[in-house]
Amino acid sequence: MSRFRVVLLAILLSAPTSAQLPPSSDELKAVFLYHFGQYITWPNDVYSHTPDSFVIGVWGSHGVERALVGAVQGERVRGRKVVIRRIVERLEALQCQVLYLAPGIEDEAPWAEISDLPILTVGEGDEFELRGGMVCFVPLRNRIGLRIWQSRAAKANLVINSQLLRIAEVRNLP
Amino acid sequence: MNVPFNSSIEARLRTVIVRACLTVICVTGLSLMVVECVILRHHALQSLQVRARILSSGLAASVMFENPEDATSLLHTLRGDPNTVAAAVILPGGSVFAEYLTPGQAPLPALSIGEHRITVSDLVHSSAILSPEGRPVGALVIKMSLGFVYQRLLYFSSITVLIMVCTAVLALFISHRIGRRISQPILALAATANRVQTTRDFSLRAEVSSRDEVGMLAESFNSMLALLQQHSVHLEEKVQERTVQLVRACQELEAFSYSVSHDLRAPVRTISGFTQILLDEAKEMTPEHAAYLGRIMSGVERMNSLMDALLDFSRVTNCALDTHLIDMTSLAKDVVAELLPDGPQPNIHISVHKMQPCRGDPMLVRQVFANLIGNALKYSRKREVAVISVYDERVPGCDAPTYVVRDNGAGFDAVRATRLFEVFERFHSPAEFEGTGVGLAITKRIVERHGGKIWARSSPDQGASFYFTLTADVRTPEMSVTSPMP
Repeated sequence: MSRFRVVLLAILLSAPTSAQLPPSSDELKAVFLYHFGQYITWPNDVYSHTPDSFVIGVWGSHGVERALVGAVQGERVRGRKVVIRRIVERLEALQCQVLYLAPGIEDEAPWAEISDLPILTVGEGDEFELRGGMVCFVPLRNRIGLRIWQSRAAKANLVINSQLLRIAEVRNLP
Repeated sequence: MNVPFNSSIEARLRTVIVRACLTVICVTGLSLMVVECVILRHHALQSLQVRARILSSGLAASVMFENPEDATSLLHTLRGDPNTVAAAVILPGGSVFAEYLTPGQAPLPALSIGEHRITVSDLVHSSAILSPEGRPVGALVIKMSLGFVYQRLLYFSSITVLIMVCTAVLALFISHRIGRRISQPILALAATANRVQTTRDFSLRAEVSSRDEVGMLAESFNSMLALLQQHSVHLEEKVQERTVQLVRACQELEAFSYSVSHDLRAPVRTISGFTQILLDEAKEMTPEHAAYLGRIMSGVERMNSLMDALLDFSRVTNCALDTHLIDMTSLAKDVVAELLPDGPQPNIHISVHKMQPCRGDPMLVRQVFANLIGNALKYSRKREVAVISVYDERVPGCDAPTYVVRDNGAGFDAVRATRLFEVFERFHSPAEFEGTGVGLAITKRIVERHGGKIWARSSPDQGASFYFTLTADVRTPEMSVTSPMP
């Protein structure tokens, strides 16, 4: 991890001070997206096409994308280089390990195709969860909480670390 | 370790054993307490590190997904350990992400990751919170109270004191038994030695009750007693044998002395009688022949005197002492009166001073004064005025007096003084001073039979002083003293 990024991460994780603004919602989401890579295990064959990359796709949110690029561009997850990819077409979504769907994008997402693929879908809102999303950002007092649909992740052959499950609200409905 | 050396062996052994036991326990206890303290602190640090490692994995997710409530609830699981009094998750910027503080605890200090701080009362340790990728995302600081260490040490020291008391009692009991077992043979040996010293009974033996050093000592002591007993018996036999020989020799000498004195008298009387007849009846005798016969007569008289003296010497040696308290002043005055039957003479000045009385045989002591005063008169008669003093002296520290007869006569060479009291020993020729040479020998024998001593001081032509005592405990100077008469 480069020195700049460590400092940035530290800033993101630090409590706010008078001289420092609290991280924005997008920045937090971006960091969470990066962290999912460390607490979730993908099947090995998912990397057959891009063996050296860990792809985080962002569909419909420039803010999150910018924050991601600023925070984790060039970082590595499980030995693979993190690649931030802006998703604009349905087929592109199938090439990601993590797919962030901004609110309002749910209708465009290829839910039928990705439901059985080892792609971690992250989003927010009721529509996202109704459509079959796996990890949902939930507003919780002054921070962002997580709601994880563990059964959906398991169906996609994703193994979620118990430490992550512990801090999240876990749902096991299909 | 100061054990008084005048106390008994048993007491010293007891003291040594008890002190040794207590010292060993004390040193061992203190060492164990120090080691225990170090080990407890080390274990405290280790358990803190393990606890931090376990908590860190859970806390990493809380930190990485911004969930301080979860981190706080994780930290509160430390409540199960009463020794953990505070904990906090510190973010890299230094802000506190989550915290657990027991009542009365101040916020934790900021420590570098991996650092620990130990004070007298607590231990604070800081460890990194690592992401699954192994990257530090924060620090976990835990504070542990070391009260349990001191409680353990207090418990440990209480047990040590209890053990010390029990050991002291046990050591006292054991050392008492051991001490008695060791000291009793020594005391028995000492008692036997004392009994031998008191009774002079060399047939006594010490009991040999063991095969150790004391037993060897008792055996050596018994061997020594056996040797002493053997020597004592041998010595007794030797003394008896020699005593018999001595008595026999004395009896023979006495018989010889009497026989010589008596048997010689008959031929001497024959010589004397016929010489006198020759002197009275011989008609044609030259004056020269008459002179020869006169010399024979004087020789006969001298021989008679010698035989009388020998008889006196023999009598003095063998007669039994008849002791009384003697008025020495009166006795000396009587002797002077006998020696000067014509009363005081102008050329003889005899002074008899008042003297202390003394116990002795009056007849024999009279003989002593007679010999000494008679000698004083004889050897000072050539002086214009013979000055003779009879008096007593007191030697410091002794109750018995020393009697002195002093004259201003011819005196004698002090170098020869030791021979003065031998029989027939004379320092002057008969032509100068007549005499048999037996008087002082008789005097010495009488004094010695009373247990006293006699000695003389003189130098030629300076007079002489004769000193004598009649008891054994008198301090006397050497016989040969060269100092002139005062």
